[in-house]
Amino acid sequence: MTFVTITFFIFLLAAFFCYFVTKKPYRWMVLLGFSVLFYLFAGYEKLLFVLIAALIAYLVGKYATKRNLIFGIIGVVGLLFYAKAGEAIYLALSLKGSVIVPLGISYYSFSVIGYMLDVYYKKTKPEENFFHFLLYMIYFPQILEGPIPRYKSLMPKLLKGEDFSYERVCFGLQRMVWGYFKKLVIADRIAIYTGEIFGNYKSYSGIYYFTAILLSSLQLYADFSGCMDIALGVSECFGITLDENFKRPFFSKTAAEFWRRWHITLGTFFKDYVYMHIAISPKLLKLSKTAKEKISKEFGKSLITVIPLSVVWILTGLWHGTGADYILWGCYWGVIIIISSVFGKKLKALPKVLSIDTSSKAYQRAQMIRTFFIFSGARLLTAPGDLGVSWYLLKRMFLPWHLSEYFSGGALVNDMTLVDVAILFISIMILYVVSSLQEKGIKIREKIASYSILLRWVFYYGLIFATLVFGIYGPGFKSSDFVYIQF
Amino acid sequence: MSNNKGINNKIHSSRMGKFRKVLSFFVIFSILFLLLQNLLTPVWNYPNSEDNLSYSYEGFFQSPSNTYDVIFLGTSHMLYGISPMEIYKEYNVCTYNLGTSGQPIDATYYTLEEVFTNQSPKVVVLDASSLFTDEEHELDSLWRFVMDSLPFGWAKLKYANRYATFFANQGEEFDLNEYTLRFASAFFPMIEYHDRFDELNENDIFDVPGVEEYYLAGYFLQTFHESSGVTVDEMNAYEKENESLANIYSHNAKVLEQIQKLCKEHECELLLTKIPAIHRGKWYTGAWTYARYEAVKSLADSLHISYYDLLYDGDISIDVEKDYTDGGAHLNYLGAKKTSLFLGEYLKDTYQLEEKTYKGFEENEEGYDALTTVAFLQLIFDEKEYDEYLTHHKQFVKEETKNGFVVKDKLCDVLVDEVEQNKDGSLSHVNALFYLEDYWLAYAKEKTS
Repeated sequence: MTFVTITFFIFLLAAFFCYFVTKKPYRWMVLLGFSVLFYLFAGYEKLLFVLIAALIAYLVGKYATKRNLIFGIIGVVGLLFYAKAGEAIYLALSLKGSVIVPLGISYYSFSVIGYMLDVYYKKTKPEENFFHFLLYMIYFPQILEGPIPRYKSLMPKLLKGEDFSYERVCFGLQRMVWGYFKKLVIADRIAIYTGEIFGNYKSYSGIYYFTAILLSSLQLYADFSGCMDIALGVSECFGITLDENFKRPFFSKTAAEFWRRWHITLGTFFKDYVYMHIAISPKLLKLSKTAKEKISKEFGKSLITVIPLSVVWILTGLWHGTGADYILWGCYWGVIIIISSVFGKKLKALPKVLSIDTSSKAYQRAQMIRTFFIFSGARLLTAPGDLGVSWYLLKRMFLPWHLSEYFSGGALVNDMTLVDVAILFISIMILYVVSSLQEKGIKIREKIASYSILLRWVFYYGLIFATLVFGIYGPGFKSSDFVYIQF
Repeated sequence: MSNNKGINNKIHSSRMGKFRKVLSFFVIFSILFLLLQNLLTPVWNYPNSEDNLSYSYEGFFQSPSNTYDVIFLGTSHMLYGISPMEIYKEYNVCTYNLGTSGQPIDATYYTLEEVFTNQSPKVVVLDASSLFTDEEHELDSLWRFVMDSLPFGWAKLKYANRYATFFANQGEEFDLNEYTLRFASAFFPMIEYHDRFDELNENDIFDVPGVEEYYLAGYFLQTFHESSGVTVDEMNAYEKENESLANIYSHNAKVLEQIQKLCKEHECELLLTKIPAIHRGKWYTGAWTYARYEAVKSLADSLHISYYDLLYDGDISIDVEKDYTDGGAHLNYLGAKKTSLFLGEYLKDTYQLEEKTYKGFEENEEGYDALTTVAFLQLIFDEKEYDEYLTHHKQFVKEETKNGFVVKDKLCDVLVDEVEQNKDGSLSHVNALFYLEDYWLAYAKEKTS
């Protein structure tokens, strides 16, 4: 069951009703019950996997020794590795049977690893109640695509049982509708184009590839952030605030800034539990000192950044996928982030040398466009689904371009029409305007709430009906599952 | 104390205010939703086309109770093959044609269930092609065509369940989401048709003048012409090796049994028949071979269902050169008239059907005659015969053109035929069906003005 199914709406209505008719101290049970039910839609055998991971983490939390911590992390990572690499291993060893891939394993694995580490380092007290802990792990709005929660901040909210709040529910529903708009109108409409180009790439070249890669970047953003809006909106209706996972990443001026705005909870996980631990580890500090003495001060200093970043980006790549494409993707980002980190000062001095006004809007826009192209370059590695195809596309991306063919109707692939293009353009513009306003600190929902009832309802009805009419969904249409579900 | 009461009153009125707001929001939302849904859902209301379904079904279900003694059901073979008005004019027997393109036999069953809520036909006639529709390849549109036109009721509910279950089982496992989406779309067609916004035309917004004047009682009056190219014997010889053509799908046979049971419950006879289809099966699997006839006969005998095949049991004298619209699969007006009169006589005699007068059909007769006068004209291929026809129908005026001539109806001031003269002296009619549609609209407009 995903968020774009009628079954989910029925499920959500039932969950909502049961939650608010239940007395506050027991509301967490309702959430747990519905989360288990949500999970069971994926298959009871997958729930068993979750229970094993939950038991491991719960027991490690209760008996938090270094040995237990190591075994616990190995256990959880082992299950994660089995889910991600199992198919390839089965194939290589000609084993029979199929790999069970539990729903949201990449997300809940990190949330429990974080919990085990926080308990071990005494940043939080261990959870005494196994069922509380299970709820933290499989709370249904976040199980599909995150955000990756922190036990300390989420658990109290799950147990508190907020009063019903009309304003909060309204805001939550508005956010959900916005998420559906991004997913169904923008992401799934772009998917019609990119699916055709990547699926039948040998029939195209030049500008077709180029636009497909750029559009796939927008598609991924609209898809993933749309899902986050739905997840956070659902949770907001229950009075439970989840962590933001996106902060308008395409307004980033640097790659490093991009990763502070994109999939934020994954980034902060790696920063808090991997980067920091490596950066301040005695072994690395010793190595850095040795390097300073034997090679150069600068080199030794850079090791404090380079080594942890390298590990983080390899792991980030592996988290997304164990294939060569994601490993290369991790290296791609790693190299870019490392270069910008190590040579940051020198790179910042370059515009001054060229007499470019770095405070000008034009320069900042150019930085944003550059960052977008860097992101799109990474998409080239993974969007086609195979490195061989990525290489094929790259070789033929710039010549010949087929410009005249493209703009005289060739771009309308897969039964797309000019109307589809117009809708896409307008909806992307709407997304841009909303994001720009948010970037300026304007809280859109609060702003609209301050308008007269007539104007407010025009906005709400406009968004709802735009999604209902222009959304890509319907019987027989297998809307592309949310992309980040595959992780 | 009064302070608490004041606060409570404020809270209460605030809650009531919010409740009213929410209620108003949903009421307005519902109205807007229904308006938009109405706009986007196809009206299936196009003059004399296979897509004139909703008017055909609407016309039927709005008819007075117990009007029709015979109901015709089945695929496009039935839709093109039987004209109730021909039967009424000749025998004064009231019938209605509820055939649709590629009608899934499940649709037939549930349509019949709905029929019995308002009508008490003595005979239900089913074209046997329904037994050979391939369940695996049934298109969504063929199901929806009927479902969207059925009035709301238990039959539609059960049909929606069947429709949703069928498509939810298309994959390896039952797809619950597909089921709920399809079931919901039966009652909220917006789910299916929301993307029609770039297909909207005047028919979706305004009533097309003339559509309300419906004279055909479900029959699709077809005036395109294409010869079959084969005789019955040639067809059977060609299909001799194609044994799979005679496989009746087990599901379809089961539903046939259910149809039989339903008819029995309503004291109605079920007659299986076959509108003649004589062609090579290579391009269309409807070729009615003797092997198929035998397979149906065997099944009908085992189920004690009457079966009267209009190709192998009766002799309608179908002319393979003149009577087909598309090379032998479907009949044009000439073929349909013969079939209707033949089957009408058979039904009247076999089932002792009473003659009766139906006001609706009496009112339709003039319009029907006007249409069929043009239809007949469009199916004349001999110049001498054509000129003779024009002599007897003074409302038509001939005007010479470069390649042949056009014919205009003086009363309605509309072209009704465009003819090209072939080298061998025979005539070819250009875009006959489109001229027939134009005539229909013009005639209805003239009649109402």
